[in-house]
Amino acid sequence: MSQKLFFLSSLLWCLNLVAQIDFNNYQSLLAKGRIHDDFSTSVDEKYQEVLTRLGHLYKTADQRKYLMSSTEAIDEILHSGLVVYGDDISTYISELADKLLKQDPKLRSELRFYTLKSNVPNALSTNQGIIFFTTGLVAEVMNEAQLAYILAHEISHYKRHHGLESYNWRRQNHDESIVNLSSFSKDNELEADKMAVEMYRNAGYEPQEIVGVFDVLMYAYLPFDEVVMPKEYISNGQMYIPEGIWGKKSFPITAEENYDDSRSTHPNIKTRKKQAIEEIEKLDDWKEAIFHLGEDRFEYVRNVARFENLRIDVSESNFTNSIYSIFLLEKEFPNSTFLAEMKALSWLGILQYYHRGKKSSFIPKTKFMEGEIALFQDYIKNANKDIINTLAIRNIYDVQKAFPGNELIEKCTEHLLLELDQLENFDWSKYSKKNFDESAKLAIAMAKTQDTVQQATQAQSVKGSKYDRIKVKRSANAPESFDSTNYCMYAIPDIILDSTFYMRKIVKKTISDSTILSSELCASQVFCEKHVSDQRRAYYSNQLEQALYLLKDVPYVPESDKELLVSSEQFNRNVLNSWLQHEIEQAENQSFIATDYYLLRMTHQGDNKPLSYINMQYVFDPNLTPVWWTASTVFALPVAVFAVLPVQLMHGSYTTVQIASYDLESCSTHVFNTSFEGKPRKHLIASAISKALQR
Amino acid sequence: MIMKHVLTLSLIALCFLPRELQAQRNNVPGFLGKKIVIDLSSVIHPHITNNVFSETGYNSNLRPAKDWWDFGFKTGIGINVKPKLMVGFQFSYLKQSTIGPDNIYDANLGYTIPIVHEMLDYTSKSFAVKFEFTGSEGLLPVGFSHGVSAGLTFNSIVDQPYTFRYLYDDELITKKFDQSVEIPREFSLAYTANMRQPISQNLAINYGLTYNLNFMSGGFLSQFYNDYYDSFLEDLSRNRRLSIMTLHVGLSVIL
Repeated sequence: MSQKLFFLSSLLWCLNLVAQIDFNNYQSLLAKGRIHDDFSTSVDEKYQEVLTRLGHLYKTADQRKYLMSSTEAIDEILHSGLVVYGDDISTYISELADKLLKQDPKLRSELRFYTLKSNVPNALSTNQGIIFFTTGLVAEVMNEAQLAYILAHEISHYKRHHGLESYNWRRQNHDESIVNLSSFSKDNELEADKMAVEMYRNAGYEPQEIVGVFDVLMYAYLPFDEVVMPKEYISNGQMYIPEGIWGKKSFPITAEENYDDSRSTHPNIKTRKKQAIEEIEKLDDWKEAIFHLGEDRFEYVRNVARFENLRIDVSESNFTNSIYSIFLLEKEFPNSTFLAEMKALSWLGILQYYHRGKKSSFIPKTKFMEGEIALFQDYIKNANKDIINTLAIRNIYDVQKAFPGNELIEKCTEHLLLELDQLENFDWSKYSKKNFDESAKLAIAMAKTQDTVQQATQAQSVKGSKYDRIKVKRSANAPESFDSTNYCMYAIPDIILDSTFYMRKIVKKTISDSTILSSELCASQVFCEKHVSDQRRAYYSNQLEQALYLLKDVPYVPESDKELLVSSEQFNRNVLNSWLQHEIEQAENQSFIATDYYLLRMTHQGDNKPLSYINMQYVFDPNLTPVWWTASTVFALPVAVFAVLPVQLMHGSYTTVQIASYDLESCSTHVFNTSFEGKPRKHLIASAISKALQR
Repeated sequence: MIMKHVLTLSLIALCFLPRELQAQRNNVPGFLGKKIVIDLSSVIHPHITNNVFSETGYNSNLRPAKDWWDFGFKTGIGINVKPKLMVGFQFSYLKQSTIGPDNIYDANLGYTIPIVHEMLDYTSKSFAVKFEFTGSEGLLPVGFSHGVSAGLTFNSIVDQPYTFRYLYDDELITKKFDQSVEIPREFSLAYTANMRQPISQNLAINYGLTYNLNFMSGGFLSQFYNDYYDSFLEDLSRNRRLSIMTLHVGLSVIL
């Protein structure tokens, strides 16, 4: 099995590097090609590069400080695991930029485009010349021209240095109200819109698509399509859902063009549309092109974004969104294994989160429910535990039957059965072996039979004993009673008859404290309460790593001797680790199946060790509150200052270490915590972990 | 005499250890499994309080001077008997100065005359039982710990000729201090805020500060009937009481 997986994974990896994405076997969007300097150079180098290029704009110390802090923030985003380069979306956006900036090669050479893996529909321009496009935005646009206009808008922000301009304005007007700040920001947005129209026109695109862009922006908070999802979709046609329960309420879309934007960074849609139309009318010589790079190419890129959004939804536990997206995508990709896997993961997630009291994480409040998806969300919101259990069983079982032997779906099945096994009131025997219709018919027949029996009973009661009468009554009531309100009990008769499904023996595997030393350290993060330099943070991180080597009794290899993180493979490994770490945090010590299961298996091929992620927090809090100071100064000087202050300063440091481990084999998690008084030095960390492990 | 006290204190310390070690075997005291700590530290005594509250002394040239810094060392051994408790024994040595006697009995004249006297150097040797403990997040024997110690201190004058001068005369006279003068022993209590920062699996840098309370036995004034020594003992007693804080820095071996 592992050889097969290795072969499949290697194949997928190679395919990912050289060919178009196979949507039936989609995997997480990863970086491709040579690693870009933005990802492999230090913050200082990037800061110097911008200064060399744009030094005339950053003259004062404050402006340079702003540049440094924004470079640090961008660097953090670049290495967050959310950003990828060289992928199909980034490449497509870069080619669009080539088209838009054909007349301005100098400006084009300053810009880089990366994909931000986020469902929030947004694009972001930075002072450094990096422009991010979220998968959420690309999934929503209708054609290449719309994407080109949004790109032109972001390029205009960079060209006008709106980021720096906004900073300068805030420096000079720090007492200004948020309304005035908003007004300044809106002026910048309108200026970028105006410039973008001209850039867009010069590239030869059709003018009316600009207006369409604003519709996209207005409704981008909804799923990428508005299609009625029938109730049969979630019941797979095998579960009766009464008419009055599904779709009893309507959830109108409330977005308006002319909303109050007095405190917004962007003008409202009406203002932007109006200005765009005016600009369009001012210019002539418009062309009619909607696609320069081809419609197929655009649809391919948009599908990549939509599949990636689905993966993000599952990873971020937005299970109702993910099921609605699967419903939409299945129309175009009916045989996609990926969609089936995500469906199984989503239903398992709904079951797990429901029983852990975290329903609100995947169902919005009623007042925020809008559009067709809201019918499904409302149904799940009002469903009781029996309905949730039944829907999860029904859907996972059906997916398993449709894709037999699929490793991830098998894991989902095992987790489903384990979860159900742990539920107090769950009992397979409560389910009927007949479906709703059959049970209803039987109930009617039974009612008729019962009348006959009652008459017979009355006849017998005259001459029989008390015990005879009881036996006659019980035999009449023996068949199961029919309860039409508890309709989910009739939803899985085929599953109840398939004992190989739910009678299988599954052993729950867990990982313990003791395994953390033998686990594979994938990532470590250091948090400090107050701002510390990168060098100091790197030092603490290094101390943490050294502590683990110390505990394992393995010599530590200094960073300088290690291979530098310069390849895309290593970068992608970090991306996958970041997502897994995020999922572990969300799981709160409960078992879960990683969304990027196959890729993780591939990157950690060969060693069956649990994967560990360490978070370390260092706080210096010597308890010198103003009250303490006042009291000591007024009442106890000089003794308080000389006697207490040094002691407080000496033991005001606290370090907390959290090691979160995940076992790919059993999909179990384990979070280990320890804290100690002192700075994060390797021997102290090692001592704290050692003590906690032996406790 | 000293040995008797040392042995007494050692026995007290040893009485604690076997019981504690037996009781806490299942817990996890120690640093990476090591429970015995030997400290060797240099001690610095800033004479802040002495100089605020004492009179001015004189240096060997009999010019007004103050003693600002005293130096010494301390060594100790401790055993981490519980995860948050360490018990041990400690010896410290500190050399410092006290202002000299301000009068002397002149046998030729037959009465006491005021003098200007060079400060007297003396040494303090302390033997104490110590207990170190930490809060719930401490990592004894490393990291920050609070320490409490109780013991005896023995002071003695450094044997050397001290210069003094009559006030009405410029004549410089040197006088060897009479070593036969018995200086009463002290009872010492101390609180130590100590940090051991490990630098390897067996070695740590230790540093911190100690607040001392020294109580010298009374009644010495009636022993000598000699103004020269009475004055010295009074000054010494005050000097010790005002030796409130010492700093230390050194190495700890963890076994």
